Amino acid sequence: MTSEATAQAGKTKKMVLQMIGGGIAGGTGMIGLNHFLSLNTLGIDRLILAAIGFIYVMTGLIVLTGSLMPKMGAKMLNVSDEEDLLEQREILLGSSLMLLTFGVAQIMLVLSGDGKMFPGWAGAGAMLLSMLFGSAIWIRDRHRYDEMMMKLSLDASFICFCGLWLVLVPWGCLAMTGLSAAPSATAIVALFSGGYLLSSVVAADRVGLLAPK
Amino acid sequence: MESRLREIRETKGWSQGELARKLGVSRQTINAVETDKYDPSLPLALRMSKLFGMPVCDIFIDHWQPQEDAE
Repeated sequence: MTSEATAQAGKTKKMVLQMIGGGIAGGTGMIGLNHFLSLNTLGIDRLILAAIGFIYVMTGLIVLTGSLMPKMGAKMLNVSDEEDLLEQREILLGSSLMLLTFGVAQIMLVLSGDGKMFPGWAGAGAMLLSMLFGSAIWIRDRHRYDEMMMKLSLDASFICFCGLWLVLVPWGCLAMTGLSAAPSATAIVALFSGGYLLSSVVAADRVGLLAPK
Repeated sequence: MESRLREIRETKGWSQGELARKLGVSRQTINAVETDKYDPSLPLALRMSKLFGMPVCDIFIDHWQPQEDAE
């Protein structure tokens, strides 16, 4: 085997291990969350929103660990080495806090309302606060983003907009004409939240950030 | 667009990180440009041109050719 082939095999192995690790952590976490919060009693749309919130929390935790402990982070995240993490430490810290607060707020929102764990104002307030917090972090960090990261953010927003336009407008049209039920408020929040997450992954892949390193 | 950035950077003996610092961008951006995943902005391409002392068209190869007029 050539050294290039060996290096490629190593990268692929690292990525497969990261995926397996992520799958186990995600699955265990979701089962645990379901056990403690009885999510399965909430209905499918709230369950989906909780799952999306959980993905935000997990991603936030992994990125936070990576930026605080770059040596360990280099093994967990798809980066060349710890220098990648040190170079972007400030941005990563900000992003991880944004992801964490938004994810926790979504889970709180799912558990809020009449007869639920939190009163309605707590869930809505947590979401609004997390959005304000995220905006403040973005304003603080925007000068730290280089041109490719700015383009990636714009690409993700555009992909998300197109996806939501394709889903929500036809759905709204069908609901207006009585051919389908209208999207619930939970579905709208879940579509925006999950849509942006998915769009970010697509945009990152387009500039090669998801290629095994 | 085809990038010759990796080849040119390696002749200078610079790592991706060193070049990124000189240009004020992230190492990921240099990697994306080198692997043809990202076309740099005009200001960044001009900075590369100045840094390497060669025209932009020697760093990035565009295979586009103007069409002949149909007359």
